[in-house]
Amino acid sequence: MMEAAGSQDERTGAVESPSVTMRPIGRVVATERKPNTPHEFHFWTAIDAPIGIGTIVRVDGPIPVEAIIPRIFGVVMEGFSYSDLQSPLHDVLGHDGRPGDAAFAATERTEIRLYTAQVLRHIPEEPLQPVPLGAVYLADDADVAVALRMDGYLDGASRTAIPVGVYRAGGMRSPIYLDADFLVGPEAAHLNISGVSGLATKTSAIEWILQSIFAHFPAQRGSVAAVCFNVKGPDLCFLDQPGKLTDADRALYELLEVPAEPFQQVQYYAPYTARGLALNTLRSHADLAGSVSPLTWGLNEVLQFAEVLLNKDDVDAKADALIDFIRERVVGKDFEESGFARKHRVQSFADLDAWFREVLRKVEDSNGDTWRTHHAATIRKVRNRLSNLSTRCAGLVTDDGEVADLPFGSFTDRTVYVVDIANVEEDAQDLVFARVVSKLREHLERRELGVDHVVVFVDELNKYAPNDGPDTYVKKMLLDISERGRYLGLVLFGAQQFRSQVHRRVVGNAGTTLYGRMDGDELATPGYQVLSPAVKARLATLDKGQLMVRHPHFAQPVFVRFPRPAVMTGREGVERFPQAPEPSLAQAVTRDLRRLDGGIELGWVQQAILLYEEHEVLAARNAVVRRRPDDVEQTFLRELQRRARPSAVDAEAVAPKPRPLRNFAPDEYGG
Amino acid sequence: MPPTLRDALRVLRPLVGASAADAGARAMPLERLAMRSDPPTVADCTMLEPPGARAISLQDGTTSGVAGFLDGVQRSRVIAHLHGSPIVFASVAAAIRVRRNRRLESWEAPLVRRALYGSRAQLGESEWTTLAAANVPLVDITDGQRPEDVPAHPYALRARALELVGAEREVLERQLATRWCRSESGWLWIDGGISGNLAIDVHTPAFGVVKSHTTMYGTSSDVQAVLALREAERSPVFLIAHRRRRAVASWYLRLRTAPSGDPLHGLVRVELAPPPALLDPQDSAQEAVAAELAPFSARCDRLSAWVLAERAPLSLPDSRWDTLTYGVHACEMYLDAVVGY
Repeated sequence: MMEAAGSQDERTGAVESPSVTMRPIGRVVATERKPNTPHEFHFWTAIDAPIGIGTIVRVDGPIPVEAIIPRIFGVVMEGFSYSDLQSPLHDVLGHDGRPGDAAFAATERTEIRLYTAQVLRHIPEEPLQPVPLGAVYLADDADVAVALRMDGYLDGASRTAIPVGVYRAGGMRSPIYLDADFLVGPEAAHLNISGVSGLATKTSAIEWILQSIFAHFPAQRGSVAAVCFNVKGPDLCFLDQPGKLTDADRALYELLEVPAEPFQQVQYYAPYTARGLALNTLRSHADLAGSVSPLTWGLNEVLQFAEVLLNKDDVDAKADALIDFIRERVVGKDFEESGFARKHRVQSFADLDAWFREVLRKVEDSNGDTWRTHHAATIRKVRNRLSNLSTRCAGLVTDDGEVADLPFGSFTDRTVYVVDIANVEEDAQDLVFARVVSKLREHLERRELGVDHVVVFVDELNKYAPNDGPDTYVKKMLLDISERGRYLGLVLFGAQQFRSQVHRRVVGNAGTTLYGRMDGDELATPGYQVLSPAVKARLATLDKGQLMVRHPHFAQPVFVRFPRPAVMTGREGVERFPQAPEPSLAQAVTRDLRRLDGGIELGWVQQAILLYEEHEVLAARNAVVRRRPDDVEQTFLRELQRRARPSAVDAEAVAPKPRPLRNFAPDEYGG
Repeated sequence: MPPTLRDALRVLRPLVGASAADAGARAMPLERLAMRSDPPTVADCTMLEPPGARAISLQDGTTSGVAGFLDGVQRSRVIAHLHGSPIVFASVAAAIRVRRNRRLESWEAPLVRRALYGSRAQLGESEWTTLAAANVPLVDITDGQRPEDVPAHPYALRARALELVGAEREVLERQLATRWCRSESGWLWIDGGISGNLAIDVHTPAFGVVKSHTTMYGTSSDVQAVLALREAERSPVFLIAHRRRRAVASWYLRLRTAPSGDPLHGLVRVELAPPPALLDPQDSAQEAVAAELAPFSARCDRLSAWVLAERAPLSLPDSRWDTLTYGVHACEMYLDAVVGY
């Protein structure tokens, strides 16, 4: 009479034991109140389904559209759980207000796990329809590649995939790749990472991605190097030393095909300490001696970036005109003028000061207020500010004009250049950053850097390119890199605690964005409105080694796990290689000369420098180190003697020229 | 797949017109209409235990031995009238939800049946033939009746249809209970009485729980005592003999005290198949009755404790939450999802 519904096999889904990705884990649902759209859908799962925020799923539509079964890929962005309870009070009543009795209830309430997923991709892409009511499957490796549109750059001769981490769900681990063309350029470029200090592992993430880039950057895209500014602590000081890795880390390295070893080529640069006896770096242990090169600049290098060090109050239009004059007509050129005691060739701060003295003397001698239209007050102000630079940037800026720089023009592929400016003054940090990046840019424009692409890593980006505050030289430069760097191969990897405090154009131009553990207050700012509450909650609780990744190819952010970088951490490094105490003058000179000649003895140096001033000794040392002569001892002695002889500048300083009598005007006495 | 309401409407559309068929799709389920109200009665029974309330011991951690819950649902609605006679589309279903790891799952597939109910005599042979030709089962609600006995009032026909639908639901419930008793050893909680199920006897692990008390059993004083039961107390066991040799043992159990003083609040009646010696205690030897009664009383106490252990979680927001155990409530929800409203 009637027909029975549903057989046992249909109900239990009598199928062979399929893997977790072949078995449906949920079903798409839609109601009038909560409909599915082309960009969002809802599905329910069993209570124990391996689904969470960030899980990538696949929906197989039941009805072909234009003879193709639609497949939709989505990422879970929100989750809901509820029971058949209408009011919490009902549960209280059910257990007579005794929470302990709840455990004895024979039956647990019916509970639902309902998820909302954002669509990553439709196959076929057209016609774009709402997500159908189909079965939901966990995405496997191939699904993940399709869902994130990685299939376009994963295979073939033009592969440009750079592993960023592993997506995990349901016991699976799927590698996630970034597109090198969108990470290093030219299609898009730049990477930005945010997260709270200590927990977001921002520096580790950058180190890992650099390792990954070095391992996977395609040969057809040219060569790549990295310049890292170490602006705090010892974080980047031991990139060439092996770090501690767990088996799980090694497994990730193997899966992602990145060698689990420290960077093979690292060059360190650091300015001297203010006294000049040792390099101002935490990497000063004797076992690492010789691995850090000095970074010192003279007047010419500094004056090009005077704007970095001189604020608006210092440099008005008049002062700017004088500085331009000095830069163009004085520095590095023979400067002769009637009324000057001698011809000046300004190559150092000491030379510049002598030149200023001569100019001011001439102004006084002329009994006037100006020199070449520059007012005496402006001259004195510029002299004061410029002379002060060598004091403010002591150790970096040398009085004698000696230059030790990064090897612009001979950068090598897969090399990390670490500029350690953690211990120098903030002004000096700005100067180093501005000059190095500018030089990189100049060389890249001329294709003379030595590599085709260079990644510049800047931590504390909120300090250099803040969202508010004055338009500093560094900030303007960072904006320029962000907006035009990708055409040159100049790529900015920036990190900061609070993304909302970085200039919008800097973070907005970053093609790839990473988020580690985030601060709740930061997540409450408008920049995170596009994220669901569940995603924000996950961001606020991310473990170390977990990141949320946004990339141009990914329609929605993806959560990944990355291994510890295979390099020694800063903390491990300073324990393993404690910082050496600042040496005496003789020890410092001995140590530096021994790098050129192992036979140099401390006693010989002590004898040699006995009668000389400290600045003379250091100047002689710097000259020898720079020239790298065959006969170190003899060269050092000659340099000492040369510096001990008083120069014209010295003579002027101690024996000022007598002031001539002022010329009288013919009618001064009414004659 | 059983036919759906849409299938039934498609069949009817040529006969009653599209608009009438569409209106039928929105008709109110008959189960929500007050179709019948039996008068409250007090019926005789045979007491097996001495009078007096019995407190059920509920020690901490008392766990229920119930393994599954059986319930059935029916949904019927008048989807069209032809020649003044109603055509009812009905869905009936029954299911057992078995408890595993404190969560309820389906035991075997639910039984679902759907059909059209109408009076062949009233509809006429031509229309009946048209309906029968469609792929929708058809039930003649006046089958076997003489033409003069066929009611002319559409409500009477509707009531007859509803009666047959209810009977169909009971058939499905009995089928499932029989299958359970043949294959399972865990106890089955049946929503409602068990007297109609021949497969349930003293050896089968099934009992019924009746929530409605239109008919109460015992003398006036017995009923007074039942109404005075306090929480976790049961009445003496008595026999209800609808048919000789097919009597069932039964007792009242107070699940929870009514804050408002409603004497029927939280009161259920449990039905259990008695041992043969208790089926006819007057005719059986006194020793045999005594020997069977003691363990049977203990069994009733144990079942009462299990029923009490099923008080949580509450089946709210169902209005019958004071007597409707959560397992049966969940079974109803499941069947609602299967059948639809």
